[in-house]
Amino acid sequence: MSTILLLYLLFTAADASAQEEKAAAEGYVGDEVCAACHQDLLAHYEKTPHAKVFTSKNARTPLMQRGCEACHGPGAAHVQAGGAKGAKGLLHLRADRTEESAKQNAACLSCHKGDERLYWHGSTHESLDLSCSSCHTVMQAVSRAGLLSARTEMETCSSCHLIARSQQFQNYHMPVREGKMSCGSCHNAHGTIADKLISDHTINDNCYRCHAEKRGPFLWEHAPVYENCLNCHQPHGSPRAAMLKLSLPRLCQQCHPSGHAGSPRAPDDRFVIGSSCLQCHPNIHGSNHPSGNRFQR
Amino acid sequence: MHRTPHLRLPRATLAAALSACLPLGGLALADTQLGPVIASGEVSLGYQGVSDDFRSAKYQQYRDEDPGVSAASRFLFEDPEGEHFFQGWLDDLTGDSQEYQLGAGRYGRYRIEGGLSQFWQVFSNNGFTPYLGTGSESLSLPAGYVPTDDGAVMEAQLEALSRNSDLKFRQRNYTAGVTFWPQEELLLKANYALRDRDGTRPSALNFGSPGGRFVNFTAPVDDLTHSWTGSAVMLRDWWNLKFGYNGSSYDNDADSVSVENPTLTGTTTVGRLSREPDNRAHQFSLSAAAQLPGEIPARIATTLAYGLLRQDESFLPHSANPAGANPALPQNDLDGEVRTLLANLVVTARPRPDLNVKGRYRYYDYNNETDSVVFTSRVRNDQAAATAGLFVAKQLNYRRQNASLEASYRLAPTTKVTAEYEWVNWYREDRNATHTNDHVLRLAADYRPQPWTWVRASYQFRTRNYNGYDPGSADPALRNFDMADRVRNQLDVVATLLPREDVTLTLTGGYDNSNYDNKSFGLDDEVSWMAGIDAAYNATEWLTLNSFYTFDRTRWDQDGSTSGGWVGRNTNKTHDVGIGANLVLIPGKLDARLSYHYHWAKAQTEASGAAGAAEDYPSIKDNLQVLSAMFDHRLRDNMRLEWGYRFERFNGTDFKFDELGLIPPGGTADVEMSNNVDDYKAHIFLATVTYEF
Repeated sequence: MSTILLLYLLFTAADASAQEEKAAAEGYVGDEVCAACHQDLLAHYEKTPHAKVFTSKNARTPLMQRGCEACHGPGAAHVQAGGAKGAKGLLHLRADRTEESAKQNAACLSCHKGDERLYWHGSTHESLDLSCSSCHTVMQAVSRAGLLSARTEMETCSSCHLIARSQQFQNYHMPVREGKMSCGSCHNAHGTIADKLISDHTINDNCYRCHAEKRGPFLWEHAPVYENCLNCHQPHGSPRAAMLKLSLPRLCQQCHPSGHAGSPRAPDDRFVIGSSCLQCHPNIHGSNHPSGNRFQR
Repeated sequence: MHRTPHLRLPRATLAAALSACLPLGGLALADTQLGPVIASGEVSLGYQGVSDDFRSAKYQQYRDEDPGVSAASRFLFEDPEGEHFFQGWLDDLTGDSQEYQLGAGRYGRYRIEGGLSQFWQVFSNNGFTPYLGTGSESLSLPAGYVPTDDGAVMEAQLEALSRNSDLKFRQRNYTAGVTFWPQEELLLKANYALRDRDGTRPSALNFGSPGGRFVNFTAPVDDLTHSWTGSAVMLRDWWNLKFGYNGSSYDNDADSVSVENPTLTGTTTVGRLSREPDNRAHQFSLSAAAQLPGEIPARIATTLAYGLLRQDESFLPHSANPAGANPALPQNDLDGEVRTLLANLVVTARPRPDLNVKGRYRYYDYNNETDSVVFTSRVRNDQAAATAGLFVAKQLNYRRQNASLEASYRLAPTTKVTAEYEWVNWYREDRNATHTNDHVLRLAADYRPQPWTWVRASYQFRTRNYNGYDPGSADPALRNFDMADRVRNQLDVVATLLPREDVTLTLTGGYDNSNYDNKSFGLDDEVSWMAGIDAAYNATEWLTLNSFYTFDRTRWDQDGSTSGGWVGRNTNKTHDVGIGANLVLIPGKLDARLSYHYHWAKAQTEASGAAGAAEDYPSIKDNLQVLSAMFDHRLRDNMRLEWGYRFERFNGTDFKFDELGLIPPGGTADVEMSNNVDDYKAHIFLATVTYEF
């Protein structure tokens, strides 16, 4: 038994030694070498999910066991150059290195491939030469989740999407600035099947996630509703009630300009004030009432 | 504040400014040995005082900012080996905006999590209603009320009998999930979410159409939405595969609401409104992506998804009137079923180092397989007699296809141009235009002379044509805007500039025009302009300044009715301006954040023509100001005090609600609720002590 144990220990020791030799041959130096100079970064980095996983016990893949070098690549050349900036072979995960965005992204995607990033290649943000580090910071947990470069998704996204940020301050808006929703509630910045980086397969599917009551199918369908919620609503906010594009009755009159709906009506008309058309047609999203063909029931 | 070169840059500047205001430079906390575990975290206890005129629905919407004590905590417990963890974020423990998130597991292997998030959707807190039974499915008038068709008499009674009724509901979102990596290349996820809504919202019902006799009332909100998702992902070096399932069940406990008739119109005392029916949805998807073999780097990604929506809520009778005509129903429920099919294929390739190409095809079929329901009579409202006729509830379908080809060529290291053509086809089986085709040309140029100096200009020309249009019973000249011929021109510019090493500018601008040709009525033209600038200035080691301004304007022109002719112009305009400063007053001891944001919006509804009958509506206007001064004071190594002052002021005018009484103008016998949204002004003082462990 002891012989077997001895052989096992010799074998594993030899194997470990071989692995170390292989790593050295590939130019890996190990976390301890990195930490010797970059101590200032460790205090923050050690609290990040990467630091928790990139350990010998928790790493799922051999690459993850490389620690710092899992992302930055082998550090031998950098060390041999005395830690000089620009030493070849070391990948800088920084947003200002746009010429290396594809390389940076490849490093991230080596672990974060597939799943929510299946459509990253060819996506809007990829085609703009953005790198993962444009929106994420690897070395410090600034946000609660997702290692975002700002404290919240809204702050991160609005560094470029200025108008979308302002629209969140409209009188009628979704609870994004209150922190009960985020940009990621509707969009997947990593690429999607739908336009505008909408997470779900269609705009309506996206809306139904929270507004399942509008999903139907209804006995009496209102065609523009089930095709596209955005025919009537502005998703980022509107100065008009219910996040509508236009006030009623004008919105309805875009498609119903004749009959009783077609009158321009005065501002104090009882069919203009309050909820306007919806006072007689409250089930405008669809009705399941046998007599609800006018969405009145 | 430690400044690295990239802190000059816009996103990084924002991050750095934020992290500078986070104690210990972010979310990093000290580790403490606590028995067998390593613990880190913090506990906060605070008090918020609010003064002035703040009791408005707008102030309360989606958040709890009322005076009182607040408590929050976050923690992380780990075993000494750093393998297992238990962590939590607990926010607003004492308030109405509670948010809890708990997670446990082993790093890199599995994670189990659960949470709760709650908020109030507040429509109004100054509404008045005469109805008893608020929040229930049966609303009755109080004893002593005498039905009348005389508006003045009704108003007098309503004023005497109505009482204040909030219009709001609470939404609680419960979540639970598991993420598990059983193998290096296999990821499994399962999640469950429950959305629970409870309260009231405004609704209405008419007792005497045409011509009104409508009542506004507090409709009950009492529903649950269960959602399940599950996925299995295979992650290989050159390919990956994902199988996913999404399920959702909507259960409405208030599937109808009965409202007592306050008028003499009709023969009964009750009207009934159907509410949203219960429904179920399932979706299965299979996605795959792979590097393609060959010398040219190329990748393919594809998804095939199948969905099923069902709805079989029992029909209500035609009428709630026991004495009135109540025709037999042809079936008891809709037995509704919609099947959706999605196929998506994207191929990307780089045939040359300076050339990227992308091809895409997408097919989406919304196939409503529900049988048409034929009714031989209809009861317009619960007070009316049955009207004989054929009323066919025809189910609607559509199919949408997109195909596009994009090429992106790098002219120089600093310059890239992109061209794309896309074809979009809609097939709508039962609408006015069965086929519409969009042809889209997109051009874009990217110029990046330096890493952080970047300009993108893009232009889109889009034309849509229908293939035959049947207006049905509508005016022959009417073309609904979602199917009408359209020419769209869109121009967008985004730029990030670095005029000085310590200044970053982000500029954005856009123009979008949709012109609907070949139509005489309804929406005719839509034009949007938008512009924005964001500036950040790293003045010194201890001072960062930022400011922004955005402008957004959209105008819709429409041609009015077929009789009399009038034209309408609707405009939404918004200005936002903000300034802020982050200061390190005493390094490591005292930080400050100062900010001011002014939001201004105006919505105009103008009309002319129709021999003077068309007139402008008063503009809807609102503005919101938020002034904030927050200080982060480190008292001890493990204790800090955050204190500050915030001023908020909201002013809004909306002619549709501001003057709303209990009956509409003109003395008609309709019932309103006088529910508007008050302005508010709030001085908010807060102090929070946080103990870190």
